[in-house]
Amino acid sequence: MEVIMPITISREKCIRCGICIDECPTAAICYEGNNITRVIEKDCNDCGACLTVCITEAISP
Amino acid sequence: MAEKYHVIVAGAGPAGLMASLKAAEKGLKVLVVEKKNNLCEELKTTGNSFRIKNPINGEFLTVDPENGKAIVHFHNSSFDMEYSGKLIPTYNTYAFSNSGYCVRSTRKDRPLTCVYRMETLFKDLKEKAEKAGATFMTGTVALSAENGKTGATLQVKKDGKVSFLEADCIIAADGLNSRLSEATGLNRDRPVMIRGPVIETVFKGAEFPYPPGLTFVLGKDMLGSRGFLFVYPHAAGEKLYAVMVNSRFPATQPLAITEHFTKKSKFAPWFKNARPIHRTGAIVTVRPPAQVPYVGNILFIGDAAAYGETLVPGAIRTGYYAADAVYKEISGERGFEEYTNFWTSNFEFVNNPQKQKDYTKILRLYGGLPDEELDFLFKLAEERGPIEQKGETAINEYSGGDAMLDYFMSFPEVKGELLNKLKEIRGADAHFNK
Repeated sequence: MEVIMPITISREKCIRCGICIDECPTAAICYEGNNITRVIEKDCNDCGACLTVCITEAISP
Repeated sequence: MAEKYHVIVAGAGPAGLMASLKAAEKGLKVLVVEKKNNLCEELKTTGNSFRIKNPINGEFLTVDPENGKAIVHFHNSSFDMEYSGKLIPTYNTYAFSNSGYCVRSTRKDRPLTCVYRMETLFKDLKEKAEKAGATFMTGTVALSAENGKTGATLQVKKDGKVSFLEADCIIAADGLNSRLSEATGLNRDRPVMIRGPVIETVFKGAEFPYPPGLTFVLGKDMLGSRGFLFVYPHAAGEKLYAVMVNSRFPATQPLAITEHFTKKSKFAPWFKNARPIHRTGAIVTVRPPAQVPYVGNILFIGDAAAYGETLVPGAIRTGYYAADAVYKEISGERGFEEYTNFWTSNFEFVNNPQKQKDYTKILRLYGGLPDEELDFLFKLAEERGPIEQKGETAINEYSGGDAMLDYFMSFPEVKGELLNKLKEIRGADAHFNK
Protein backbone atom coordinates (compact mmCIF):
# COMPACT_ATOMS: atom_id res chain seq x y z
CA MET A 1 0.00 0.00 0.00
CA GLU A 2 1.25 3.43 -0.90
CA VAL A 3 1.70 5.66 2.09
CA ILE A 4 0.60 9.24 1.56
CA MET A 5 2.18 11.84 3.82
CA PRO A 6 0.01 14.91 4.07
CA ILE A 7 1.71 18.28 3.69
CA THR A 8 2.36 20.48 6.70
CA ILE A 9 1.94 24.25 6.97
CA SER A 10 4.26 26.37 9.06
CA ARG A 11 2.26 28.74 11.25
CA GLU A 12 5.21 31.09 11.41
CA LYS A 13 5.61 31.47 7.68
CA CYS A 14 1.96 31.22 6.65
CA ILE A 15 0.36 34.60 5.94
CA ARG A 16 -3.08 32.94 5.59
CA CYS A 17 -3.67 34.40 2.13
CA GLY A 18 -5.76 31.39 1.11
CA ILE A 19 -4.01 30.73 -2.20
CA CYS A 20 -3.49 27.07 -1.28
CA ILE A 21 -7.14 26.73 -0.27
CA ASP A 22 -8.19 27.96 -3.71
CA GLU A 23 -5.68 25.82 -5.58
CA CYS A 24 -5.89 22.47 -3.81
CA PRO A 25 -7.50 20.03 -6.27
CA THR A 26 -8.98 17.92 -3.46
CA ALA A 27 -10.01 20.87 -1.27
CA ALA A 28 -7.87 19.45 1.50
CA ILE A 29 -6.98 22.83 3.01
CA CYS A 30 -9.38 25.11 4.86
CA TYR A 31 -9.51 27.90 7.39
CA GLU A 32 -10.25 27.06 10.99
CA GLY A 33 -10.73 29.32 13.99
CA ASN A 34 -9.72 32.87 13.29
CA ASN A 35 -8.64 32.14 9.73
CA ILE A 36 -5.81 29.76 10.51
CA THR A 37 -4.88 27.52 7.57
CA ARG A 38 -5.39 23.82 8.29
CA VAL A 39 -4.74 20.63 6.31
CA ILE A 40 -7.57 18.08 6.22
CA GLU A 41 -5.18 15.14 6.34
CA LYS A 42 -7.57 12.45 5.12
CA ASP A 43 -8.15 14.44 1.90
CA CYS A 44 -4.53 15.36 1.08
CA ASN A 45 -3.07 13.18 -1.66
CA ASP A 46 0.32 14.85 -1.53
CA CYS A 47 0.11 16.12 -5.12
CA GLY A 48 2.26 19.17 -4.43
CA ALA A 49 -0.01 21.76 -6.08
CA CYS A 50 0.05 23.90 -2.93
CA LEU A 51 3.86 23.83 -2.78
CA THR A 52 4.21 25.49 -6.16
CA VAL A 53 1.77 28.31 -5.37
CA CYS A 54 2.71 29.14 -1.78
CA ILE A 55 4.29 32.62 -1.86
CA THR A 56 6.04 32.38 1.51
CA GLU A 57 7.41 28.80 1.42
CA ALA A 58 5.17 27.93 4.34
CA ILE A 59 4.29 24.46 3.08
CA SER A 60 6.50 21.36 3.40
CA PRO A 61 5.84 18.11 1.59
CA MET B 1 -35.19 18.06 3.12
CA ALA B 2 -32.56 20.75 2.91
CA GLU B 3 -33.61 24.34 3.19
CA LYS B 4 -33.99 26.05 -0.16
CA TYR B 5 -32.77 29.55 -0.70
CA HIS B 6 -33.70 32.03 -3.38
CA VAL B 7 -30.05 32.69 -3.94
CA ILE B 8 -26.76 31.36 -2.65
CA VAL B 9 -23.80 33.67 -3.06
CA ALA B 10 -20.45 31.89 -3.25
CA GLY B 11 -17.72 34.20 -1.99
CA ALA B 12 -17.89 37.17 0.40
CA GLY B 13 -15.55 39.55 -1.39
CA PRO B 14 -16.71 42.98 -2.51
CA ALA B 15 -18.88 41.57 -5.33
CA GLY B 16 -20.49 38.82 -3.26
CA LEU B 17 -21.13 41.05 -0.26
CA MET B 18 -22.83 43.75 -2.31
CA ALA B 19 -24.92 41.10 -4.13
CA SER B 20 -25.97 39.61 -0.77
CA LEU B 21 -26.86 42.96 0.70
CA LYS B 22 -28.95 44.07 -2.26
CA ALA B 23 -30.64 40.67 -2.72
CA ALA B 24 -31.56 40.56 0.97
CA GLU B 25 -32.90 44.11 0.77
CA LYS B 26 -35.20 42.96 -2.03
CA GLY B 27 -36.65 40.40 0.35
CA LEU B 28 -34.89 37.35 -1.10
CA LYS B 29 -33.77 34.51 1.13
CA VAL B 30 -29.99 34.75 0.82
CA LEU B 31 -27.20 32.44 1.93
CA VAL B 32 -23.57 33.50 1.64
CA VAL B 33 -20.88 30.83 1.56
CA GLU B 34 -17.36 31.98 2.39
CA LYS B 35 -14.10 30.12 3.04
CA LYS B 36 -12.91 32.55 5.69
CA ASN B 37 -14.28 32.35 9.22
CA ASN B 38 -13.57 35.93 10.12
CA LEU B 39 -15.11 37.50 7.04
CA CYS B 40 -13.75 40.96 7.52
CA GLU B 41 -10.09 40.10 7.70
CA GLU B 42 -8.15 41.16 4.62
CA LEU B 43 -6.04 38.22 3.51
CA LYS B 44 -6.11 38.42 -0.27
CA THR B 45 -4.35 41.25 -2.06
CA THR B 46 -6.79 43.57 -3.80
CA GLY B 47 -6.89 47.15 -4.93
CA ASN B 48 -7.39 49.67 -2.14
CA SER B 49 -8.36 52.99 -3.68
CA PHE B 50 -11.35 54.66 -5.27
CA ARG B 51 -10.24 56.43 -8.42
CA ILE B 52 -12.00 59.76 -8.33
CA LYS B 53 -13.72 60.89 -11.55
CA ASN B 54 -11.50 58.50 -13.47
CA PRO B 55 -13.74 56.83 -16.03
CA ILE B 56 -13.04 53.14 -15.77
CA ASN B 57 -15.29 50.17 -16.36
CA GLY B 58 -18.05 52.57 -17.37
CA GLU B 59 -18.16 54.19 -13.95
CA PHE B 60 -17.44 57.62 -12.53
CA LEU B 61 -16.85 57.82 -8.77
CA THR B 62 -16.83 60.71 -6.36
CA VAL B 63 -16.54 60.65 -2.59
CA ASP B 64 -18.17 63.02 -0.10
CA PRO B 65 -16.90 63.07 3.46
CA GLU B 66 -19.76 63.19 5.94
CA ASN B 67 -19.47 63.22 9.76
CA GLY B 68 -16.46 60.94 10.03
CA LYS B 69 -17.68 58.62 7.32
CA ALA B 70 -17.90 58.93 3.56
CA ILE B 71 -20.48 58.45 0.86
CA VAL B 72 -19.13 56.90 -2.32
CA HIS B 73 -21.21 57.90 -5.33
CA PHE B 74 -21.40 55.52 -8.28
CA HIS B 75 -22.66 58.09 -10.75
CA ASN B 76 -23.35 55.98 -13.83
CA SER B 77 -24.97 53.21 -11.79
CA SER B 78 -26.96 55.74 -9.73
CA PHE B 79 -26.29 54.36 -6.30
CA ASP B 80 -24.36 55.42 -3.23
CA MET B 81 -22.40 53.36 -0.76
CA GLU B 82 -21.56 54.36 2.77
CA TYR B 83 -17.99 53.86 3.93
CA SER B 84 -17.44 54.22 7.67
CA GLY B 85 -13.65 54.49 7.82
CA LYS B 86 -10.95 57.01 7.18
CA LEU B 87 -9.99 57.78 3.59
CA ILE B 88 -6.58 59.03 2.49
CA PRO B 89 -6.89 61.41 -0.45
CA THR B 90 -3.90 61.26 -2.80
CA TYR B 91 -3.03 64.07 -5.20
CA ASN B 92 0.11 62.56 -6.69
CA THR B 93 1.48 59.58 -8.53
CA TYR B 94 5.16 58.80 -8.87
CA ALA B 95 7.38 56.64 -10.98
CA PHE B 96 11.02 55.94 -10.26
CA SER B 97 13.44 54.77 -12.94
CA ASN B 98 16.29 52.35 -12.46
CA SER B 99 18.76 55.05 -11.37
CA GLY B 100 16.24 56.62 -9.00
CA TYR B 101 14.99 59.56 -11.10
CA CYS B 102 11.42 60.42 -10.19
CA VAL B 103 8.59 61.58 -12.40
CA ARG B 104 5.82 63.10 -10.33
CA SER B 105 2.37 63.69 -11.63
CA THR B 106 0.09 65.83 -9.54
CA ARG B 107 -3.45 67.19 -9.51
CA LYS B 108 -4.27 70.26 -7.44
CA ASP B 109 -8.03 70.72 -7.82
CA ARG B 110 -9.14 67.33 -6.44
CA PRO B 111 -7.70 63.99 -5.32
CA LEU B 112 -6.70 61.45 -7.93
CA THR B 113 -7.71 58.66 -5.58
CA CYS B 114 -9.02 58.04 -2.10
CA VAL B 115 -7.36 55.12 -0.36
CA TYR B 116 -9.73 53.03 1.76
CA ARG B 117 -9.22 50.15 4.14
CA MET B 118 -10.52 46.89 2.73
CA GLU B 119 -11.40 45.50 6.15
CA THR B 120 -13.67 48.46 6.85
CA LEU B 121 -15.33 48.07 3.47
CA PHE B 122 -15.92 44.35 4.17
CA LYS B 123 -17.29 45.14 7.62
CA ASP B 124 -19.66 47.83 6.35
CA LEU B 125 -21.13 45.59 3.66
CA LYS B 126 -21.29 42.47 5.83
CA GLU B 127 -23.06 44.19 8.71
CA LYS B 128 -25.62 45.72 6.37
CA ALA B 129 -26.19 42.40 4.58
CA GLU B 130 -26.71 40.63 7.90
CA LYS B 131 -29.10 43.33 9.06
CA ALA B 132 -31.05 42.96 5.82
CA GLY B 133 -31.45 39.25 6.56
CA ALA B 134 -28.67 37.44 4.67
CA THR B 135 -27.33 34.30 6.37
CA PHE B 136 -23.60 33.57 6.39
CA MET B 137 -22.02 30.12 6.28
CA THR B 138 -18.34 30.67 7.04
CA GLY B 139 -15.32 28.36 6.93
CA THR B 140 -16.95 26.84 3.87
CA VAL B 141 -15.40 26.30 0.45
CA ALA B 142 -17.72 26.32 -2.60
CA LEU B 143 -16.47 23.37 -4.65
CA SER B 144 -18.76 23.21 -7.64
CA ALA B 145 -22.21 24.10 -8.89
CA GLU B 146 -24.71 22.31 -11.06
CA ASN B 147 -27.92 23.36 -12.74
CA GLY B 148 -31.12 21.46 -12.02
CA LYS B 149 -34.49 21.64 -13.73
CA THR B 150 -35.70 24.53 -11.63
CA GLY B 151 -32.73 25.81 -9.71
CA ALA B 152 -29.13 25.00 -8.99
CA THR B 153 -27.13 23.02 -6.45
CA LEU B 154 -23.95 24.14 -4.79
CA GLN B 155 -21.48 21.58 -3.54
CA VAL B 156 -19.64 22.85 -0.47
CA LYS B 157 -17.11 21.63 2.05
CA LYS B 158 -17.07 22.64 5.71
CA ASP B 159 -15.00 21.02 8.45
CA GLY B 160 -13.86 18.37 5.96
CA LYS B 161 -17.43 17.34 5.13
CA VAL B 162 -19.04 17.71 1.72
CA SER B 163 -22.68 18.73 1.44
CA PHE B 164 -25.13 20.11 -1.14
CA LEU B 165 -27.15 23.31 -0.94
CA GLU B 166 -30.14 24.18 -3.10
CA ALA B 167 -31.30 27.52 -4.46
CA ASP B 168 -33.27 29.06 -7.30
CA CYS B 169 -30.09 30.82 -8.42
CA ILE B 170 -26.44 30.81 -7.53
CA ILE B 171 -24.24 33.88 -7.72
CA ALA B 172 -20.63 32.81 -8.22
CA ALA B 173 -18.43 35.51 -6.71
CA ASP B 174 -15.43 33.33 -5.97
CA GLY B 175 -12.82 35.48 -7.59
CA LEU B 176 -10.07 35.23 -10.18
CA ASN B 177 -9.31 31.60 -9.43
CA SER B 178 -12.98 30.66 -9.33
CA ARG B 179 -13.66 26.97 -8.76
CA LEU B 180 -17.22 27.46 -9.96
CA SER B 181 -16.17 28.95 -13.33
CA GLU B 182 -14.00 25.90 -13.85
CA ALA B 183 -16.63 23.40 -12.70
CA THR B 184 -19.48 24.77 -14.81
CA GLY B 185 -17.56 25.11 -18.08
CA LEU B 186 -17.46 28.92 -18.03
CA ASN B 187 -13.68 28.72 -18.51
CA ARG B 188 -13.90 26.42 -21.52
CA ASP B 189 -13.09 29.16 -24.03
CA ARG B 190 -11.08 31.22 -21.61
CA PRO B 191 -7.47 30.06 -21.76
CA VAL B 192 -5.08 31.43 -19.15
CA MET B 193 -3.27 34.45 -20.60
CA ILE B 194 -1.16 35.47 -17.62
CA ARG B 195 -0.65 33.83 -14.25
CA GLY B 196 1.64 35.01 -11.52
CA PRO B 197 2.12 35.44 -7.77
CA VAL B 198 1.57 38.68 -5.84
CA ILE B 199 2.53 39.71 -2.33
CA GLU B 200 1.63 42.89 -0.50
CA THR B 201 3.47 43.86 2.66
CA VAL B 202 2.29 46.68 4.91
CA PHE B 203 5.15 48.51 6.63
CA LYS B 204 4.77 50.58 9.76
CA GLY B 205 7.14 53.53 10.12
CA ALA B 206 8.10 53.77 6.47
CA GLU B 207 9.35 57.17 5.37
CA PHE B 208 8.25 57.93 1.88
CA PRO B 209 9.98 61.19 0.87
CA TYR B 210 7.00 62.81 -0.87
CA PRO B 211 3.31 63.40 -0.15
CA PRO B 212 1.43 60.08 -0.35
CA GLY B 213 0.55 58.63 -3.73
CA LEU B 214 0.72 55.56 -5.87
CA THR B 215 4.34 54.88 -6.77
CA PHE B 216 5.74 52.65 -9.49
CA VAL B 217 9.32 51.55 -9.03
CA LEU B 218 11.02 50.39 -12.18
CA GLY B 219 14.28 49.06 -13.44
CA LYS B 220 16.48 46.05 -13.64
CA ASP B 221 18.07 46.66 -10.23
CA MET B 222 14.69 45.90 -8.72
CA LEU B 223 12.85 43.68 -11.03
CA GLY B 224 14.28 43.42 -14.49
CA SER B 225 11.37 42.10 -16.48
CA ARG B 226 10.24 40.00 -13.56
CA GLY B 227 7.17 42.04 -12.76
CA PHE B 228 5.98 45.28 -11.25
CA LEU B 229 6.57 46.93 -7.91
CA PHE B 230 4.25 49.50 -6.36
CA VAL B 231 4.39 51.49 -3.13
CA TYR B 232 1.26 53.17 -1.81
CA PRO B 233 -0.24 54.47 1.42
CA HIS B 234 -2.32 52.06 3.49
CA ALA B 235 -5.39 53.28 5.39
CA ALA B 236 -5.10 51.00 8.43
CA GLY B 237 -3.15 53.61 10.39
CA GLU B 238 -0.67 56.47 10.36
CA LYS B 239 2.57 56.25 8.38
CA LEU B 240 1.69 52.93 6.83
CA TYR B 241 2.97 52.11 3.38
CA ALA B 242 2.32 48.97 1.42
CA VAL B 243 4.78 47.44 -1.01
CA MET B 244 3.14 45.26 -3.62
CA VAL B 245 5.08 43.05 -5.99
CA ASN B 246 3.37 41.39 -8.91
CA SER B 247 5.75 38.94 -10.49
CA ARG B 248 6.22 35.56 -12.09
CA PHE B 249 6.70 32.04 -10.81
CA PRO B 250 8.46 30.69 -8.79
CA ALA B 251 5.83 31.77 -6.29
CA THR B 252 8.40 33.01 -3.79
CA GLN B 253 9.85 35.58 -6.19
CA PRO B 254 7.63 38.51 -5.07
CA LEU B 255 8.74 38.07 -1.45
CA ALA B 256 12.40 37.94 -2.51
CA ILE B 257 11.96 41.13 -4.55
CA THR B 258 10.23 42.82 -1.59
CA GLU B 259 13.15 41.87 0.67
CA HIS B 260 15.68 43.23 -1.81
CA PHE B 261 13.72 46.43 -2.35
CA THR B 262 13.24 47.26 1.33
CA LYS B 263 16.62 46.10 2.64
CA LYS B 264 19.27 46.38 -0.06
CA SER B 265 18.13 48.60 -2.93
CA LYS B 266 18.72 52.34 -3.23
CA PHE B 267 15.20 52.74 -1.82
CA ALA B 268 16.02 50.86 1.39
CA PRO B 269 16.41 54.13 3.38
CA TRP B 270 12.63 54.62 3.13
CA PHE B 271 12.29 51.46 5.21
CA LYS B 272 15.20 51.97 7.61
CA ASN B 273 12.93 52.31 10.64
CA ALA B 274 10.04 50.31 9.27
CA ARG B 275 8.77 46.86 10.11
CA PRO B 276 6.35 44.66 8.23
CA ILE B 277 3.05 44.33 10.10
CA HIS B 278 0.79 42.55 7.64
CA ARG B 279 1.01 40.53 4.45
CA THR B 280 -1.57 39.52 1.91
CA GLY B 281 -1.13 37.48 -1.23
CA ALA B 282 -2.77 36.31 -4.40
CA ILE B 283 -2.22 34.37 -7.57
CA VAL B 284 -3.36 36.53 -10.44
CA THR B 285 -4.82 34.40 -13.19
CA VAL B 286 -5.86 36.41 -16.22
CA ARG B 287 -8.31 34.94 -18.72
CA PRO B 288 -10.38 36.57 -21.44
CA PRO B 289 -13.61 37.79 -19.86
CA ALA B 290 -16.72 35.65 -20.24
CA GLN B 291 -18.90 37.14 -22.97
CA VAL B 292 -21.98 35.53 -21.44
CA PRO B 293 -21.44 35.57 -17.66
CA TYR B 294 -24.03 32.96 -16.71
CA VAL B 295 -24.64 29.24 -17.15
CA GLY B 296 -28.29 28.27 -16.61
CA ASN B 297 -29.23 29.50 -13.15
CA ILE B 298 -25.68 30.36 -12.13
CA LEU B 299 -24.52 33.97 -12.56
CA PHE B 300 -20.81 34.84 -12.46
CA ILE B 301 -19.88 38.25 -11.09
CA GLY B 302 -16.74 40.23 -10.25
CA ASP B 303 -13.46 38.61 -11.20
CA ALA B 304 -15.00 35.13 -11.49
CA ALA B 305 -16.10 36.13 -15.00
CA ALA B 306 -13.52 38.77 -15.78
CA TYR B 307 -10.15 39.61 -17.22
CA GLY B 308 -8.90 40.54 -13.78
CA GLU B 309 -9.29 44.28 -14.00
CA THR B 310 -12.78 44.52 -12.53
CA LEU B 311 -11.24 46.24 -9.50
CA VAL B 312 -13.07 46.61 -6.21
CA PRO B 313 -15.52 49.35 -7.29
CA GLY B 314 -16.28 47.30 -10.43
CA ALA B 315 -16.86 44.20 -8.34
CA ILE B 316 -19.23 46.15 -6.09
CA ARG B 317 -21.18 47.26 -9.16
CA THR B 318 -21.50 43.72 -10.49
CA GLY B 319 -22.91 42.71 -7.10
CA TYR B 320 -25.39 45.56 -7.18
CA TYR B 321 -26.65 44.59 -10.65
CA ALA B 322 -26.56 40.86 -9.91
CA ALA B 323 -29.09 41.21 -7.09
CA ASP B 324 -31.48 42.86 -9.50
CA ALA B 325 -30.78 40.18 -12.14
CA VAL B 326 -31.53 37.34 -9.71
CA TYR B 327 -34.68 39.05 -8.45
CA LYS B 328 -35.99 39.39 -12.01
CA GLU B 329 -34.97 35.88 -12.98
CA ILE B 330 -36.88 34.45 -10.02
CA SER B 331 -39.89 36.58 -10.99
CA GLY B 332 -39.83 35.02 -14.46
CA GLU B 333 -38.13 37.92 -16.23
CA ARG B 334 -34.89 37.79 -18.17
CA GLY B 335 -32.67 39.20 -15.46
CA PHE B 336 -29.50 37.40 -16.53
CA GLU B 337 -29.78 38.67 -20.09
CA GLU B 338 -30.17 42.17 -18.76
CA TYR B 339 -27.10 41.64 -16.58
CA THR B 340 -25.18 40.43 -19.61
CA ASN B 341 -25.98 43.70 -21.40
CA PHE B 342 -24.71 45.65 -18.42
CA TRP B 343 -21.58 43.48 -18.28
CA THR B 344 -20.66 43.76 -21.95
CA SER B 345 -21.45 47.44 -22.34
CA ASN B 346 -19.76 48.68 -19.17
CA PHE B 347 -16.68 46.57 -18.63
CA GLU B 348 -14.27 47.74 -21.29
CA PHE B 349 -12.29 44.54 -21.38
CA VAL B 350 -15.26 42.42 -22.24
CA ASN B 351 -15.92 43.66 -25.73
CA ASN B 352 -13.21 46.12 -26.61
CA PRO B 353 -9.64 44.85 -26.93
CA GLN B 354 -8.59 48.39 -27.86
CA LYS B 355 -9.53 49.63 -24.41
CA GLN B 356 -7.61 46.77 -22.90
CA LYS B 357 -4.54 48.04 -24.74
CA ASP B 358 -5.16 51.62 -23.65
CA TYR B 359 -5.56 50.64 -20.06
CA THR B 360 -2.30 48.74 -19.97
CA LYS B 361 -0.44 51.56 -21.72
CA ILE B 362 1.58 52.48 -18.67
CA LEU B 363 2.83 48.91 -18.52
CA ARG B 364 3.71 49.07 -22.20
CA LEU B 365 5.68 52.24 -21.53
CA TYR B 366 7.60 50.72 -18.67
CA GLY B 367 7.93 47.28 -20.13
CA GLY B 368 8.73 48.46 -23.65
CA LEU B 369 11.63 50.81 -22.98
CA PRO B 370 15.07 49.81 -21.73
CA ASP B 371 16.35 51.24 -18.46
CA GLU B 372 18.73 53.66 -20.19
CA GLU B 373 15.86 55.26 -22.11
CA LEU B 374 13.65 55.45 -19.03
CA ASP B 375 16.53 56.98 -17.03
CA PHE B 376 17.05 59.53 -19.82
CA LEU B 377 13.36 60.49 -19.89
CA PHE B 378 12.89 60.47 -16.13
CA LYS B 379 15.98 62.62 -15.57
CA LEU B 380 14.68 65.23 -18.01
CA ALA B 381 11.26 65.14 -16.35
CA GLU B 382 12.69 65.42 -12.83
CA GLU B 383 14.71 68.49 -13.83
CA ARG B 384 11.61 70.16 -15.24
CA GLY B 385 9.41 69.46 -12.22
CA PRO B 386 6.06 67.75 -11.64
CA ILE B 387 3.50 67.20 -14.35
CA GLU B 388 0.29 68.99 -13.52
CA GLN B 389 -2.88 67.15 -14.47
CA LYS B 390 -5.93 69.29 -15.11
CA GLY B 391 -9.13 69.54 -17.08
CA GLU B 392 -11.08 66.52 -18.17
CA THR B 393 -9.93 63.15 -16.95
CA ALA B 394 -8.54 60.43 -19.16
CA ILE B 395 -8.66 56.71 -18.57
CA ASN B 396 -5.01 56.68 -17.48
CA GLU B 397 -5.12 59.63 -15.11
CA TYR B 398 -4.61 57.35 -12.14
CA SER B 399 -1.32 56.01 -13.40
CA GLY B 400 -0.40 59.32 -15.00
CA GLY B 401 0.32 57.42 -18.23
CA ASP B 402 -1.01 59.80 -20.85
CA ALA B 403 0.21 62.93 -19.09
CA MET B 404 3.67 61.39 -18.72
CA LEU B 405 3.86 60.42 -22.37
CA ASP B 406 2.80 63.92 -23.45
CA TYR B 407 5.33 65.47 -21.08
CA PHE B 408 8.18 63.32 -22.42
CA MET B 409 7.22 64.04 -26.01
CA SER B 410 7.25 67.79 -25.37
CA PHE B 411 10.99 67.76 -24.55
CA PRO B 412 13.21 68.95 -27.46
CA GLU B 413 15.84 66.40 -26.36
CA VAL B 414 13.40 63.57 -27.13
CA LYS B 415 13.58 62.78 -30.83
CA GLY B 416 14.16 60.13 -33.44
CA GLU B 417 13.58 56.50 -32.56
CA LEU B 418 12.67 57.21 -28.93
CA LEU B 419 10.06 59.79 -29.93
CA ASN B 420 8.56 57.31 -32.37
CA LYS B 421 8.30 54.66 -29.68
CA LEU B 422 6.52 57.09 -27.36
CA LYS B 423 4.17 58.16 -30.14
CA GLU B 424 3.33 54.58 -30.86
CA ILE B 425 2.44 53.88 -27.21
CA ARG B 426 0.55 57.17 -26.83
CA GLY B 427 -1.37 56.52 -30.06
CA ALA B 428 -3.09 53.55 -28.51
CA ASP B 429 -5.82 55.79 -27.12
CA ALA B 430 -5.95 58.45 -29.84
CA HIS B 431 -9.63 57.70 -30.30
CA PHE B 432 -10.31 58.54 -26.66
CA ASN B 433 -9.23 62.13 -26.42
CA LYS B 434 -9.82 63.33 -29.96
